[in-house]
Amino acid sequence: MNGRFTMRLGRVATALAALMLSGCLPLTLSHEGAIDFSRHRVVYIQPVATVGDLLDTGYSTGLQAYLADELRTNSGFVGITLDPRGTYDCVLSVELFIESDYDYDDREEEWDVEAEWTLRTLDGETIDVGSVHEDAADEGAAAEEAMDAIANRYLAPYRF
Amino acid sequence: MPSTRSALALALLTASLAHAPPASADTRAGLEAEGLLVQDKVIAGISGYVFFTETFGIDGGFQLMFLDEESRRLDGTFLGGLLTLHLVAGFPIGDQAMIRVGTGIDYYGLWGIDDEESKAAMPLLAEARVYVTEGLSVFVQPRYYLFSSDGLEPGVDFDGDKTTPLVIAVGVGGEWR
Repeated sequence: MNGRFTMRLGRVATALAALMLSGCLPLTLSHEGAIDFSRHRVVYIQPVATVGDLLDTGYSTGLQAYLADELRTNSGFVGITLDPRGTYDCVLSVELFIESDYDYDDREEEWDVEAEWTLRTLDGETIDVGSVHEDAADEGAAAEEAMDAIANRYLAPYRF
Repeated sequence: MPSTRSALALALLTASLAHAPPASADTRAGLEAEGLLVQDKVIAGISGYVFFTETFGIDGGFQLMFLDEESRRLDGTFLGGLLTLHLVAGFPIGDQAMIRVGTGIDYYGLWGIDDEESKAAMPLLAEARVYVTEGLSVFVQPRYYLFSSDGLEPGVDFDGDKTTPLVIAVGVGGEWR
C-alpha cells in the first residue's frame, strides 16, 4: 500500500468516524393500533363459523382457540375470553368461507380461505370490520394463516 | 459478544475476497459487511452486489436488527431483519472511487414483534465508494425513502422530533472481477 492509498484510507476512516461520532440518525418504527385498546380491553371470541368444503366438525372450536392464542401473544387486548358468560366489553366474530380446488395439471389440491371478521361492542355497534384471503396446500394451514392475519390486525401499539 | 465476533468474521471474509481471482472481464461482484447508522438500534449484516455491465448492476443485503436495550414489549432486543434489493448505476471517479445511484426496496421484517409484522420502503440511494486497495472498498450510502409504510419514519426520533430524513448505510467489502 503506497502513501497515497494510506492518505486516502486515513481520510475515509476519519470521515466515517466523524459521521459515527456525530450521532446516528433516528429511525422510528411504530404502529398505532387498529382500535382504541384503552376503550376495548377484553374481547370474547365467538366460535369460528365455517362455510364450504370443511368436513371436520371440531374445526370451529379449534380455530377459535388458535385465534385466542395468537391474540394473547401479541394483541393490544388486556384480556381474551372464550367464555360467553365471562366479563368482556367487545365481541369478535369470524366467518370462514373455504373452497378446495384440484389442479389436474399439477395433481395438487389447493385450499382458498376467505375470512371475514367483525368486532362489535356489547350493544352491537361495529368497532372494526375486515376480510382477508389466504390459500395453501391444506385447509388447516390456509385457515390458520387467515387467523394469523386477523390477530395481526389487532397487534398492540408499539414505538421503537 | 457473539455479534461482534460475527462482524469480525464477516470483515475477514470480505477482506479475503479482495484477493480472489478474476471472474470475468465484464462483470464484477462484491461481498460486504454493512451496518446502518441509526440511533438506539443495531442494524448490521451482510450485503453484496453484481454489476452485469460497466455501469448497471444490483445490490442486496440482509441485516439483523436489535434494540440497544431490552424492551418488555419485545421480551428481549431482537427486532427482526432488513432485506434490501436495489438496482444501481455506478460511475467511476478516477481509478479509486465510484459514485452509485439507485432505487429498489427496503423490507423490514419485524419478526421480533410479530411474525406477520413488516414495513417496506422504496429508497433513492446515492453511494460514495472509495477503493482503498484494488479489491477492497469502503462506502457510505445515504438512502432517502421516496415511499414508505406507515410507521417507518427515518429521521424521526422516539419523541417525534424530526431531523434529516435519511437512512445511512456504511460498509467495507471485497470486490472481484
